[in-house]
Amino acid sequence: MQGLQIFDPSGNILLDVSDNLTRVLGVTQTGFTNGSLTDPNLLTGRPWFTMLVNSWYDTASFTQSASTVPGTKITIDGSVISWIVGYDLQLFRLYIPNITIIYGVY
Amino acid sequence: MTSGLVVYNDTNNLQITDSFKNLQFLYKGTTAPDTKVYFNINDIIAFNCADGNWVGMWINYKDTSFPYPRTDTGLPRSDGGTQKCCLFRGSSTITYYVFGFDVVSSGHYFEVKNSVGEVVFSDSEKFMKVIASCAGQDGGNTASPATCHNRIFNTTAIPLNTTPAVIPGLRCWNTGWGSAGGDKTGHDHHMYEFQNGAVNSLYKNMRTEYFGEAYARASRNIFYNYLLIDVTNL
Repeated sequence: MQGLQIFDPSGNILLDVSDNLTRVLGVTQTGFTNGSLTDPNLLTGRPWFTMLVNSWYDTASFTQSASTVPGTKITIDGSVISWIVGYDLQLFRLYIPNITIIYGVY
Repeated sequence: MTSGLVVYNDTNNLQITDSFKNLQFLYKGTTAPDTKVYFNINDIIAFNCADGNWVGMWINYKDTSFPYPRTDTGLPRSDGGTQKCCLFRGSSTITYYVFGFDVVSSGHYFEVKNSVGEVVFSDSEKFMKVIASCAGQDGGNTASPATCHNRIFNTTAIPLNTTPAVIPGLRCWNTGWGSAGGDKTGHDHHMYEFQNGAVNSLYKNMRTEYFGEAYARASRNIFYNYLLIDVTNL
């Protein structure tokens, strides 16, 4: 197999030709409203994203207890990342987190 | 770029240039199920468990001694502090892996710098490797609450000799009404099972105590996304 392999000083392989690094393209904030962004670099590989919750708004004023990353649906279509906040099929209660999206291609 | 180094992998996807950075591995640890762990607010957390077991994680878990970044006032909260409280659920010991952006140390034998002289890649660091970016919807999650227990709705095969971990994103859930002092089992939640060279998304039923609430509330989501990464030798 041709290509670059990188090893640490102990001889363990750090990067192989079959690996997929994250190649981060950008970081954005959703805020508390629906939105989207366009990044042509998303077309240069297979897109990925992950999300961090920085804060949130609980519309029902209940005592918020626990969650994973509730209610924000993020999709990537071509070069466009879109998000819908407060997503819940039953719309009984809206958790609206402010999400940090970290995205790239691999 | 007009000069410098570019590295592609065997599927012709660009891996290293001076123009992009990668997420770095910072540290790892282990914890028991039902244990709270504190992380920096911007840490990206991956986790796994022994083969044949399942695991999940709640972030911003209620902790009366540590109220941030959740809000219980109904007001937007931007002063989220510098840490987040996470509660791991699972059927065995959980290993978590923390990633983020940090200064890339100079390399022992290999490093790549950007146009302003910053090291963006070196053999002194370990970087996140993606296995798959998973997203979709669970068509079997119906309006009837708490009917999803143990049902697998997505499976991803893992390459041989690879240790996977999950970075959760939007998860599925199906919860129903309960009452204080009454039924407290009405929460079906998206967890991750590591089994036989695959990672499965499935539901596990959680008692409401895990949410710090007296009773369940009706809610449902069928959309999910998460990252599967390679943590071999980390």
